[in-house]
Amino acid sequence: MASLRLQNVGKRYGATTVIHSIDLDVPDGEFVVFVGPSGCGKSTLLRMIAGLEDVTSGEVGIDGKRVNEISAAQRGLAMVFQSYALYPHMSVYQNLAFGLENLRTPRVEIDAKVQGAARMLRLDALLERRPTQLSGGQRQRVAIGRAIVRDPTIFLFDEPLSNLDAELRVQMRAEITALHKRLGTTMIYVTHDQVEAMTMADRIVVLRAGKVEQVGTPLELYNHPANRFVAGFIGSPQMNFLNGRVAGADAERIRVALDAMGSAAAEALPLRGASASPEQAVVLGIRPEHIGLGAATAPSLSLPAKIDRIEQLGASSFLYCTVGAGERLTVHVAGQVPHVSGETVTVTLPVADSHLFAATEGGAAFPRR
Amino acid sequence: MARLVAFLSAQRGRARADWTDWVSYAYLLLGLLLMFGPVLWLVLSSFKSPAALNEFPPQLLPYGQKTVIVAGHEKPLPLFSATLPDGTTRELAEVRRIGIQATLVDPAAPEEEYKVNIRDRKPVRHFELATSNYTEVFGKFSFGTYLWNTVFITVIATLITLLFNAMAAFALSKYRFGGRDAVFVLIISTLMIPPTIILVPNFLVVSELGLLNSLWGVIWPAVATPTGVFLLRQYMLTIPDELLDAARMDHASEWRIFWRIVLPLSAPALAVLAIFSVMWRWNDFLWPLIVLSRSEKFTLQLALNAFQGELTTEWHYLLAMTVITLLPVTLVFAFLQRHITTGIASAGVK
Amino acid sequence: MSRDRHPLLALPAAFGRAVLDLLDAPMRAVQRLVGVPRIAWIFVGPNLAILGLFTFLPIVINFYFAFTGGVALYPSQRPFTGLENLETLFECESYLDPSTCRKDLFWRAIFNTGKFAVLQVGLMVAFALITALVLNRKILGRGFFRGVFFYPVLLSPVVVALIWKWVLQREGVLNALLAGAGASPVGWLSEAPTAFFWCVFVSIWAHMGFYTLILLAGLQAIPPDLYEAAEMDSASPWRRFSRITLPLLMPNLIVVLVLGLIRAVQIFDEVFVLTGGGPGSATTFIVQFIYQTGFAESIHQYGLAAAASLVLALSLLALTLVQLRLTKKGLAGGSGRDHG
Repeated sequence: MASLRLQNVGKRYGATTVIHSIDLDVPDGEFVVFVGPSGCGKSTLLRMIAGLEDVTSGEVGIDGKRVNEISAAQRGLAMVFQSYALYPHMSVYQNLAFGLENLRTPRVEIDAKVQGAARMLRLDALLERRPTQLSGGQRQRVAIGRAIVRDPTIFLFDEPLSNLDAELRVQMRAEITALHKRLGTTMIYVTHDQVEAMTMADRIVVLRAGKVEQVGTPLELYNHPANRFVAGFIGSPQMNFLNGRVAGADAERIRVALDAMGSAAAEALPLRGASASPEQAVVLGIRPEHIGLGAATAPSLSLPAKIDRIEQLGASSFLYCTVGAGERLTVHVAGQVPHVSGETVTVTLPVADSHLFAATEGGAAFPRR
Repeated sequence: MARLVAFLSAQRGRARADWTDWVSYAYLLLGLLLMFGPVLWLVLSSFKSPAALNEFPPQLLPYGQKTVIVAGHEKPLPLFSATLPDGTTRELAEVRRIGIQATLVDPAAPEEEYKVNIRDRKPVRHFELATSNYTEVFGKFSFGTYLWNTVFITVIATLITLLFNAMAAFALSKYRFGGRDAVFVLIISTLMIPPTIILVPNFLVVSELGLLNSLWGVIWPAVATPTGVFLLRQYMLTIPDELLDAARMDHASEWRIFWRIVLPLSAPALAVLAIFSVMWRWNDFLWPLIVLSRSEKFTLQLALNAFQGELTTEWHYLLAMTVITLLPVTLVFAFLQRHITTGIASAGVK
Repeated sequence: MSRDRHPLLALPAAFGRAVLDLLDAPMRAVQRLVGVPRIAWIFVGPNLAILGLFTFLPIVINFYFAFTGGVALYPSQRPFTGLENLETLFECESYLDPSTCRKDLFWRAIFNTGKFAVLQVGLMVAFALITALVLNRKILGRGFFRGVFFYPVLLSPVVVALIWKWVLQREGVLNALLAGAGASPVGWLSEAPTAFFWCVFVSIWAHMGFYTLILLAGLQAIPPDLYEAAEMDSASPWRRFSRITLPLLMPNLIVVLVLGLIRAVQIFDEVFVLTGGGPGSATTFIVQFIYQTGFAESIHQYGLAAAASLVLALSLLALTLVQLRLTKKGLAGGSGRDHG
């Protein structure tokens, strides 16, 4: 059990910088998820923590001790690889025992630990089999077992579920979460799937192009995304974005004129607008599940939307609409709706659930009051 | 240069060059020296004059003695660095030598003669390639004949090999006939029967066919290579059968199908087999040694072997012949090597 | 089809068309006669004929030669002698001492071949493995160095022998280097133990590259994340090699060992040119014995040579069977790949 601290950690390959100066504090026992699109550097960051990649700049500290110079074999961590990396010529038992043998653990102790891990992961019947004789899910559990057996201070997971089918993935997510509850060890988990991140993490680190976009609990990221990227990355279906301009702003509120609405909205958004300048280009973000149909029950922006397509799932409905001069809007309402495609309906965007982002490259959010 | 450094430092994500990397490079350099060194030494030596070859310890590069044209003498005279009785050392040309006394003249002033003991003079050398080794080799010995024999065997055997093996591979890959699998197994099984264990009976067969001491006696036994059949069959299996059916609908005979469709489409595999065959036939030794006993039928390999007995003192010719013999293979290697290295280089850039 | 090709192929294309036109009519006739399925026999015929004539027939005749005596080449003129040839070969007071044998050259050749095969293959495979391991790393100029080790494989055995004979001359460059270092020159090929050593060395030099490439391919087939997993499992570099690399490379190693042994047992070309079998019979190997007995001496003893060929054939057969057995075991054991 250990805490992890990254200070100014960076990685360069020759002239290309892959990771730009990352700071992160992971307290003991936390389940942290690194999430981001392909190529954002999350796997590289994990491998630097593991010791499989050199740290070009900055410091990696485990339990307060600097580990940059310590080799992967000596750091006392364990990693579950995306491809599982099970030794094909060894039995499950030998795969599990290999790490302990390298540490010259006595036979009796090895046996006890291996049997214990096998029982925890329901592998006890499979100990004599070879990896090629196992199913995908079983191999995954052996890979996890191999990590457990070594009693590591930190568990590292590198996209372990991406090779499994959807059903198995749901099952394994629950198993890994249960494992974390049971062992209480610090776990760092890398994935590109935001659903995995949202369901498993204590805290999420959103990465893009080698930089940290935001760190927070799942609900923090959902409710208060720091910028447009995080807002669009977290949440499914993706948040809607509508272009507009600042019509007026002060420290307590911002009034916007959406391109789709033509004129400035009557209702203002309860956001800190001190940094907003008049006529500044902004982007309004609203999640599909927050949009209402028909009359508003709370202060909202209303605008007409033409329905292109409806998907009725019974318990909820998805409406795919066009607003204004062609901007798309997805609406997700509970229950069934009496509308049909081609109809124009009034959609209401509650200001309490609306986010506003600068229309710049960074797309920083205007914070809530 | 920056890319070189970046590439070097990209080893397994480690920036430091491990001690294991230095050892690896040292090993590879040693290997380079050991693999190419003796061949280079052979080539260098082949350009040395007999006199230079007799020296011990040998010089690295071929040197010959400088000669100079002196007025009043038809042929160029050898140049020496001589220590004169008065103690000075001058570069003088030797006019004649009787016993241990050499008569030397200054090329600029040839009237004055100096008599010097041969011990007091040293030849002036310069870098000189004794290309006469190569040119004379064709004249003095029937080297041209051996070259022709070898080329004849190599080319004809390769052509026949390509034809016979392609025909067999065609039959085995595109036809269903009773006994096909048995024939295939039979052909592959001959891989386990090297020629060394059937030398005597093969000799009888070749003799009975009247092919002893004939180049054809070397060619015919060698053309049915099981490796070739296997290689071509593997490749021909990837040619869609529909092509053949379409051709049959077009009233093509089976022979036409083979010759105009399957054979051209198998060009890459044929090229590989051709290279193998050229190498095998060029380098053949034991069987030609047994079959060809008359020297005018010798191949290059047999000639080299025979002459090292006779010519233990004429290494300069033997070395030249050896270099000529290894030239084709070296050229093929040099040409293919570029393909290998460019492939690796482009992968490194990515 | 051949119209839009390179103009350089115009001549062979014309040749091809000529052959086609020439043979098309007779081949059509044959096809009508025999039918499409059976025409396959016509295609496979020439190859089979050559194999039959120069491989299968000789195998059968070899037995006949082995069991007959006399000096005639033609079988009809050879009297049947049964096992006499084999008995002559195997007539020894003590099988461990060739000088007590009737055909002492045969036994010396057997011992030499055995010693040679074990030494040469053992050392060659070890060096090939080391070289493959080095070449498997991210080395600058990897392709170039791969070619470097492979070059001697392409040279003819006669050329290989002459290259080294020139180096090993009494006044050759090796002795010159020794003299420069203060040591005295050695008659490398005129002393039995050094001559044997150089036979082994030259043979390794000429063939190592081929086996290096086979082992390198095997090494590259091992997924790199197995090594990373082993690192995370605190495995030292030695344990990574002995517990991961070696077991997964075992099928390739077996192939290389057996192929190497099969070739080593048949060694002839390069050592014959290098030492001629000498000094004395120190570097005479079994194939040279067969050659000498059957073709090089004034009296060609075909029967003895054929009998010796049988002995060689048996040992090769044994090696091939061993390889088949080991490959089956090796495949079941180690080469299963984890596809995640």
